[in-house]
Parts: sequence; C-alpha cells; structure tokens
Amino acid sequence: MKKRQVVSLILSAVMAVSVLSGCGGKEAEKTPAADGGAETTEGTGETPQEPSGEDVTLRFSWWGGDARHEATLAVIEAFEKEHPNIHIEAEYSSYDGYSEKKTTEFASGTAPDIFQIETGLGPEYYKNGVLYNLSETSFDWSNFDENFLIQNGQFGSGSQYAIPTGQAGSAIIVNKTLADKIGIDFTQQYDWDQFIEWGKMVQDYDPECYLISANTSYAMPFFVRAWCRQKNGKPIMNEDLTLNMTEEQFTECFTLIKELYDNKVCAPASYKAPFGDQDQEDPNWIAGKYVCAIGYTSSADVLSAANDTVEYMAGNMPVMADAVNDGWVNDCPQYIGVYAKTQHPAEAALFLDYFYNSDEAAKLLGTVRSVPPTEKARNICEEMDALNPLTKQSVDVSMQYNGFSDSGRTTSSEVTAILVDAYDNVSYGQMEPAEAAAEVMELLNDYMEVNK
Amino acid sequence: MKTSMNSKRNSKAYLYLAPWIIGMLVLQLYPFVVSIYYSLCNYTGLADPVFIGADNYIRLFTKDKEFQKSLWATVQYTLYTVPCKIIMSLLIALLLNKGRKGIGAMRTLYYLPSLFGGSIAVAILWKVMFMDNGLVNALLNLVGIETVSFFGNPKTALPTLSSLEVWQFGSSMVMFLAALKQVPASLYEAARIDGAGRLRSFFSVTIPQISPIIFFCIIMQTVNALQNFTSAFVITAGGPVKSTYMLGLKLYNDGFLYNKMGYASATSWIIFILVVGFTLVLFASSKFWVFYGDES
Repeated sequence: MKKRQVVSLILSAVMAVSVLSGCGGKEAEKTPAADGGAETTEGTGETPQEPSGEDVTLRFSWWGGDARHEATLAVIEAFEKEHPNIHIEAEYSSYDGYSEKKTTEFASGTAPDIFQIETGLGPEYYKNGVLYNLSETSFDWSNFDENFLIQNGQFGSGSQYAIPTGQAGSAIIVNKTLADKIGIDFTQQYDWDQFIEWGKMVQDYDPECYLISANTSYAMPFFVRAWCRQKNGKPIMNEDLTLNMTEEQFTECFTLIKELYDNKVCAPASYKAPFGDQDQEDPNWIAGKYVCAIGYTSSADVLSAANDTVEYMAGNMPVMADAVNDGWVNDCPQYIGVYAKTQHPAEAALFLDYFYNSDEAAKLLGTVRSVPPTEKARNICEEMDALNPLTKQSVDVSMQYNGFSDSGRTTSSEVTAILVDAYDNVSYGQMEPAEAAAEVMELLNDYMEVNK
Repeated sequence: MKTSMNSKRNSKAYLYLAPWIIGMLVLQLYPFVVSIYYSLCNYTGLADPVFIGADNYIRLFTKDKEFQKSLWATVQYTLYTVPCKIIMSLLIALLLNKGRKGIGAMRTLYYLPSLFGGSIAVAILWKVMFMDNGLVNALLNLVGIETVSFFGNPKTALPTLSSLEVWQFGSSMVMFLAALKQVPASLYEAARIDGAGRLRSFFSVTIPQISPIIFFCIIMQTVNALQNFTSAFVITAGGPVKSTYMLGLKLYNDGFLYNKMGYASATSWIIFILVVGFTLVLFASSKFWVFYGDES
C-alpha cells in the first residue's frame, strides 16, 4: 500500500511538473543587442551594406485580418518577381499571441528578419536591442515627412529603428444621425466635463442609449494617458523612470471616469467587457444606440460597416480648459522593423524600400495598415479611391491637434496593465478614485524601483 | 547466449522508448531544472540571467498584491470545479450503469465534451454561449429571467468559467463507470438482506468500493484545476477586475508580456508547491476514507 502511495505521489508530481515546462528556455545568446540596447548597429559609421545578389531567404511576420494578409502576400509576390534571388517567407496571423510569440523568438534568437511591431512595444524592443538600425541601410527616406519619422520609430535615438506603417491617432467616431436628433455637436471644441452634460442629454432622450461606447483597452489611453498629456504636457512616466502624474491628479482623473459611469455617459463596464475591444460586435452599436465610440482612426471603417443605416463623422477631441498641451497626437498604427540579428540586413532593407516606396506596393496595400505614411502612397490611394472617407476625416481631425506621443515607459506592457486595472476598478465601482489613485502610485513606484 | 539476447531486446526497447525519453528530457526535465535557477534570477529572456537569490519569492509574497488575488482566484476555481465535477461525473456514471436500450450511444454522448478538453474552440464556444446576447441568456429571457452578464460581472465570471471545466466530466465518468462495474453484486445482495435501502447501499457499499477511483479523480482534477490557463486566457483574459486572473495566466503574462521570465519561473514553482501540497493533504486524508480491496 505504502509503495503504491509513493508511486502515485511521484506520478502526481510528474504531472505537475508540466506546468513548469513553459518557463524554461534557451538562454539568449549574448550579443551586444541582447544587453546593450541600441548600440547594436548604431554609430558604426559603416557605409550601408549593399545586397549581395546571392540567393537569400527572409522571414517576414505580421498580424492582421484577411485583407491585410492578401495585400501583403501580393506585395511579397511582386517583390520576388523583381528580385528573384530573394525569397520572402510569410508568417502571418491574428494579433492574439503575436507579441508573446515575438518574446519567445527573441529569447531563442529565432525572430524573423522583418516583423510588424505594436506601437506601444516599439520603445521596449528598441531598449532591448532587438531592432536593427535602419538608418544604416540603403532605405530611401525621402518620401517620408522628417518630423513624422522623428516622432515615430526613432525612440529618441536620432536613428530610425522602426518604420511607421501609416498615420493614425485617437478618434471619436460619431453616429451623426443620433447626435443630430439629440442636439449634440461634436464639431465644436469642448472639454472633458462636456461629456457628462451630453451623457445626461442622451439618457433623457432614451435611457437605453449611451453617449459613449468605451472598451477598457481603448478607454484607458483615451481618458488617462491623454488626460495626463493635457494636464502636464508630459507623459505619465518619463524614460528616466520618474513620474509626472501625482496622486492628486490620478484622483482627479479617476473621478472623471467614475462620473462617466455613474451618470451612464458610458455603457456599463460589465456590459462592454465580453466584447473586448471589438465595439463593432456590440449589438447596441449595431442597433445605433451609442452616440459615439472612442478608439482609433483605424477603427473607423469597421465601426461604420457594422451599421451602415446611419451617417457617421469624426468628432473633435476633448481638451481641458487649462491644458498645457492639447494632448492628441497623430502617430502610427504599428511599425515594421528588422531583427538586430538578421544575417541579411541589406536584403531586408531592400524589401522594406519596395514595401514603402514603390508604386506597385502602394497600390496593392491600399489602406490595409491605415492611411499610408507617405504622401506619395496617400496620393496613389486617393487616385484609386481606396481611402475610406471616414478614416481620412478622422486622420484629418487628429492632425488638427499638436500633442506629442507618450510612447515609451508609459506605454510599456506592465505600466499599461497597471493603468488598465485601475480604470477597471473605477469603472466597475470596485474602488473609489482616491483608493485607485493610491494603488496606482504604489504599483508605479514599485515598477520604477524594480526597473532602475 | 541468453544474456546477449536479453541485451539485444533491451536495446530495442530503449530504441522504441527513445523519442519519449528524449522529449521528456528536453521538453520537461530540462525546463523543470533550469526554471529553479531562473526563479532565483532577474531574467528577461532577452539578456543573461542575473542571480538575485530569493528576491522573486520574497516579492511574490510581500509586495505583489496581484499574486495574492491570483492565488485566491485559483483556489476558488479549484474549490468550485473539483467537487462539482466529481459529483456530476459520479451521478451520470450511476445513471449510465444500467442496461438500457441505446446506453452505448448515451455513454459516448456524455463522453464527447471531454474529447475537446482544453481546446480553444470550446473556450470560444463557451464565451459566445454566455455572452449577453448568447444562447444561455436567450433561454433565460424565454422563461422571464433578465439578461445576466456572465463574463462581465466579477461575481459570476469565475463560476461560469468553472462550469466549462465541470462540463468536461467524461473521463472521470468513464472511470467511475468502470469502477461501478467492479463492485460485486453479492455485496448489494448482502446489504439488501441486512435491510439496507438504495441510499444506504450507495453510501455503505458503492462509495467505499469505488473510493480509490474517487481519490484518484480528485487528485487528477485538482492538479488540472490548479494549472488552468486556456479558458481564462481565451474567454476572460483574467477579467473582469482580475476576478479570473489565475496563477497560470499570471505566469504567462509575467513571462511573455512583461518579459519577467525569472519572476514567472518563481510563480510556476509556487504552483508546483501548491499542487504537491494539495496532493499531500489528500493523501494524508485518504487513510480515513479510501478503502483498498487488498487491505486486510
């Protein structure tokens, strides 16, 4: 009996071991990129490498929907026709698990040569030294606006480590038909408190309607990060791991969020949670029961397609009365970068040059990665009538503002998770604003202490 | 000659076993051993690990409030899932332990959900079924009950998630069914002669006779529940308000989202200790309620 018990115990333990298996892995090969960050390819002063002309295979990974996959594959095919010695292996999927996969690939040194990067993670990748310095390649930057490149993909280094795939920014997509019926005018400039007044008007009009369709993933950057940029003219956290936002300011910001939910300006958090960030799947959006959805310019086409019986417009963004900066920024929906350990940087740059600068690629890609980043590609899209008018309008609205990107520590995954949790706690009524502010301060201070 | 034959046979056996042994060494034993070291390091997965002693463990228990919430969510999930699943599978096994027409098809039908165990598709199906406009709410609305936000409400999210695991009761059911077949009919007959009713027979004959299987199933289900990942990851992503943020998911996020592989390794060791701890407690309790036929 005893023996059997012992054997059973051992077997149980062996089963439990499987949970630990996921946490091991090959140690990262020590390279300057792995521990030195940006110095990998920066400042070598070498002349750009030229493609060797030998047969080369590159791996290119991205995420997206079917339209993006088909367009990108078509560009790859067209490129391979022009450069028969370069073969591109496509690795594409949805966004689920994409960044996590990249983490394991970086750890094992098996990341693809070229890969799409989520905007908020760009600075982290740069810091971790996994990005190749594209300024040292033969990529032609002349089609890009210089300031746009400085703001997107240089990460304060002065060199281009990632290339923005398009123009994008925060946006308010307004159901104009409903807004007009209630008498809400999103073309005027307004402040955050105006949301509360408008929200009450909507509830008076129809208790089943709400002013804002807000999912946590989009609402936190909208109501917390943008609020801080307006209040302080700075991001929540600086790159040198110091905080700009005080506990009092967090309390003030969270009080606004609490009022939005208490006054039914936003749909209840518990109702919105199951839809994740897919507002277009919410039956109330499809039924036209929201005056607006907050999100990004890239959401415009899917939101409008979900209910085409009403008229839409891109609304102006809220700006607080004593704002240091209007806080709204036109940046990019994602980047594309080259892996620091690639064996073929010249060929990777050649492909990217084709991807961003050739007429053929611009025609094939259209707006599958939002409004294109170069004027040349935008003109081609306009000639083809490929630009969704609502997307274009929302980008135009976002370009009226002069905010700055807070991409960096503030957008790192861990800080984002802390802020999202706080937003959740307040929107669900689990914590009072002051309580949530105190917890956020504690967690952010802890994050800074660990990362110093 | 005989020794040489044996040795040859042994070599062949090892050759057949080699794929499994290599797989186990590389994919399980090596990560298992190396994770002990990583759990004592500041390791991002991108740079070399830096030894920091027990700091990760100290942080988990003294500073990480999320860990405490996760630990509690995991224990709650286990407490919801294991008893419900055991009772459910035993009841269904009792129903199917009768010679009825079409019983084979019934057994297959009840076992089917277990074939999809842990699959992404089933998790998505569950998510869709329990959404505000899903099938379950449609049925509730039909009988006049208002829509329940199963995965949107922190109070209902964890029990709803547990119900997915409970639904996959097939493997326990099959084991119970096999165990029930092994109970000698003479014992029931003796009990009946002694004046025992059906209920008394169940508790005094059936339960003691199948107690080793109950014990085995409890251990298996506890180990599974403590390691839950798929359903929490796919359906709720740990929300709302971290109510379903179980340790397996926290481990994943720490390791692969926040690049804290060392910290995640420490969490995995806590899960391991938790599993072993639960198992030991169950073993300690078994001498009071598990009856083995070979015992004198």
